[in-house]
Amino acid sequence: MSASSSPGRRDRSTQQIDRWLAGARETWQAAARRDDMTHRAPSERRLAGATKPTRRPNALLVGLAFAVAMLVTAIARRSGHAAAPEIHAEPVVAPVVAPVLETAEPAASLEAPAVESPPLKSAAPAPSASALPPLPHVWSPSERREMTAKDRAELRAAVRDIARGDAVHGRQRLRALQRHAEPPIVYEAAKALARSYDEPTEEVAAWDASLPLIDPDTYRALAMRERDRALREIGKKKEEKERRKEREERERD
Amino acid sequence: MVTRAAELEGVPPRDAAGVALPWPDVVALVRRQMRSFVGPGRDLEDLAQTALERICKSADRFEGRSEYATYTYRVCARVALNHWRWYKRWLRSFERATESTPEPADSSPDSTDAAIERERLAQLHRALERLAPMKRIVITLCELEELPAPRVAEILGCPEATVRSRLNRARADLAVILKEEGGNE
Repeated sequence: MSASSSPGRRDRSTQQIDRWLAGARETWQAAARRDDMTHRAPSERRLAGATKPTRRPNALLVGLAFAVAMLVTAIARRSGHAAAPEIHAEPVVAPVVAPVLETAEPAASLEAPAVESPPLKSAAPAPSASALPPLPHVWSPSERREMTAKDRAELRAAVRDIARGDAVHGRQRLRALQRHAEPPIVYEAAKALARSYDEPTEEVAAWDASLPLIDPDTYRALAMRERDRALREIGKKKEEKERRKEREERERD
Repeated sequence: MVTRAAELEGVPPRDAAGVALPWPDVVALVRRQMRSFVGPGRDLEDLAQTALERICKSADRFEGRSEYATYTYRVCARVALNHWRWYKRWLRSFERATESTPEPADSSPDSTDAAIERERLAQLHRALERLAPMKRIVITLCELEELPAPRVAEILGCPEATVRSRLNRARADLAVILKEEGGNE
């Protein structure tokens, strides 16, 4: 709406202001053209860089997810399942081992030197390897999803107890976990329990006690391998002991 | 001066037909509109940034009942009005210490015509600054930007008759201001 189209009578002052505004309009437009040529482009670049529209996730959903996460954490803490370092130094599943154990029966052959050591009172009778059923399936890592966060927290708590020196409490937790329905958790609890002992004889005894509880289709082969390792440790120790004795006798002679 | 980057929460702006507008186009539009209100001074980019933030945050509230440029004009007008009101309050408490701070330098060749034009522009801005904020907006839109009264009414959210009466009063005030400036000279 320019001044020239304004209705009504115009006195002298109105005409003057019309003339002034017409001149001002020209000046205004010239200044705008000059600004377009000189300052506009860098200014727009700065503005475009400083402001940028983004679509962010709904704040309500984010808040709700955070609240749920906090609630789960609080429940886990209340039940004494504080986080502890991961205990597995090696993967639970070792598919290469399974077919070898099916035919070779290595556990029976390796048991021979270990039998000479006195058995522990708490040790259960070891099942013979020939009685073990074949291993049709070894669990893959992806199948371990069934182990829930709560189970893992319990396992970590047990390991933490043992590392702190509270072996009694830690082993209690682990023995409770061995009655779990999930084979992976049973195996890992047995493994942690066996490794909680310093002496190989105690470790073998722990494996002997745990073997009947471990799922024969999946983790017993692994358990047997662990037990054999402990037996070899016993044999090595015994050999060392005998060699030391012989050396001492020779020195005496 | 633009001092910070703003990641604006909201949906990208869309025009009346629902077509998404390129952000650089919106930036150019808003800067041009804001320049018409506040001139090419120090505050232009800060105020344009504020207007852009508001536009982006309230983009989903634009219903497409008017042109997109009318909507952005409206936001710019509000931002400019708020700024002038704030500046008036600020001046009551603090002495203006930036009188001597130069405006952005003009890189055009310094001919006589350019010097005259600059002086005219400075006189225009001085006169506009002395007007009341709403009158300044009306004068700018109706007289300098030559927008029709119905569109100015849409921008300001008032009846067309109100725009006309405000324009008449603004012109009267401007005449007085020019007379005073002429008398002083």
